[in-house]
Amino acid sequence: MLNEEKVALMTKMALYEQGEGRKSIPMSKYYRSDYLSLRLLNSVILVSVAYALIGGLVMLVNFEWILENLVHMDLVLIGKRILISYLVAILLYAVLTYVIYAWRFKKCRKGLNEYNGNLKQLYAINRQEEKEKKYEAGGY
Amino acid sequence: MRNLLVIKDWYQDMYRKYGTFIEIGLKLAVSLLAVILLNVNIGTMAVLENPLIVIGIAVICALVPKSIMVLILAAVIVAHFAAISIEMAAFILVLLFIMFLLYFRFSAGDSMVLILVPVLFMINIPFVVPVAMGLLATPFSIVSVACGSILYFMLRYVHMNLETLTASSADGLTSMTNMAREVFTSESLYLVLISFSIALAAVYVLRKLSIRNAWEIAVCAGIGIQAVILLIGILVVRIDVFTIPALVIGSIISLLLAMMLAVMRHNVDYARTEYTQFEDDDYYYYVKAVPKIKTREKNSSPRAQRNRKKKR
Repeated sequence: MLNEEKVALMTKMALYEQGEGRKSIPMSKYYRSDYLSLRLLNSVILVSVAYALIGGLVMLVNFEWILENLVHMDLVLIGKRILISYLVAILLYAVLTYVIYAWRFKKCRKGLNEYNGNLKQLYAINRQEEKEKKYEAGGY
Repeated sequence: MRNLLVIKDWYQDMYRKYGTFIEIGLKLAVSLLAVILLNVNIGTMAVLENPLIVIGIAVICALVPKSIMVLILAAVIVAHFAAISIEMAAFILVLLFIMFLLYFRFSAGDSMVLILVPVLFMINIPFVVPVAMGLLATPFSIVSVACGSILYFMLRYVHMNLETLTASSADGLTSMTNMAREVFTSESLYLVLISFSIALAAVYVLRKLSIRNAWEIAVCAGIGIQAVILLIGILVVRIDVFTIPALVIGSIISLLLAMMLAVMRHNVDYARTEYTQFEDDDYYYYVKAVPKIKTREKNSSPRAQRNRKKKR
């Protein structure tokens, strides 16, 4: 016999798991601080890669100009500027990452709470069913 | 207004029933348009001109998730560039890579804009995108609209200089350098970016206001702001992306499209029939879940609510 209540619950949960839950459920396995630091680390690496790529493109585009002026350039000053802009970029991006993911972490709680509630309810229904099965089978 | 509400109800009903198919159809249309427009405007890669391949790409794009669709279309663009010169392809590839690294990681849903902006630019109604993003997303989408615009300007540069670029004397590295310089120093690009950003932010702010018809006002303001800034651009800075008639006609069509979107806004993402499957110890379940109609947005106008009541 189909238990309609159970089907409704399981459907809701399946829809959540396949939709919003695909991101939220893995997220729920971390502590907030762990999750955010992982994201921050990830961001720093990505920004570094992107920065190197942008730098490479700019150099490539201005290649001739650089070759012509290489002798007169104050390389230390340029190095300093590059370093500072890199640090500023990382800082900006880190703040952005922190804000966005902290907000997402908070936001996904609501769906997760509902999901956990459904999970408990489903567990209760299953236990009830098992009890009934035992009873039908005759028990001890 | 009454008629619009009837259309809206009809649309909601259709969307609830056939949402999946409507979405596939839309994706098919967008990707077909994108591939054909690329062929017409650039068309350097001969293999991609084959109608069978065009249709094949569009069908694949329609069936895969949106983010993969964007990747496939990006690959088509890179392929066209590669047929001109490897250096230009590498340049655009790196640029796309940077965009994905820095931005689309945060909002994968937005990546569609990257393709939509150039496509709509080519049919002269890009103004609808900032307005739509202002209505449906957050101000962060300014970045994705900007990325799409930069991509369009790259394509435009190639389209306009196709003869010089494909001439046998052309040197790949020089072409790439020229393209990068030309695109990133063009006043038109920056003016377009400014007008799109201001419009998007304005639409977002206005639609959040708790006034009557906030969405409709936001749409009009968004299109108006873009038209005015670009008109000033055409007259003062002499940008060459639009002519005045094209700007006027494009704005009017965009206004109509954005209005349609504003009226039908309620169920772009939700209220769609879902199919799912799962199992327990005894059964496999193949479930079709049809959402119930709930009382819609809290801030919709009293008149709209009255109209809805009458119809029930």
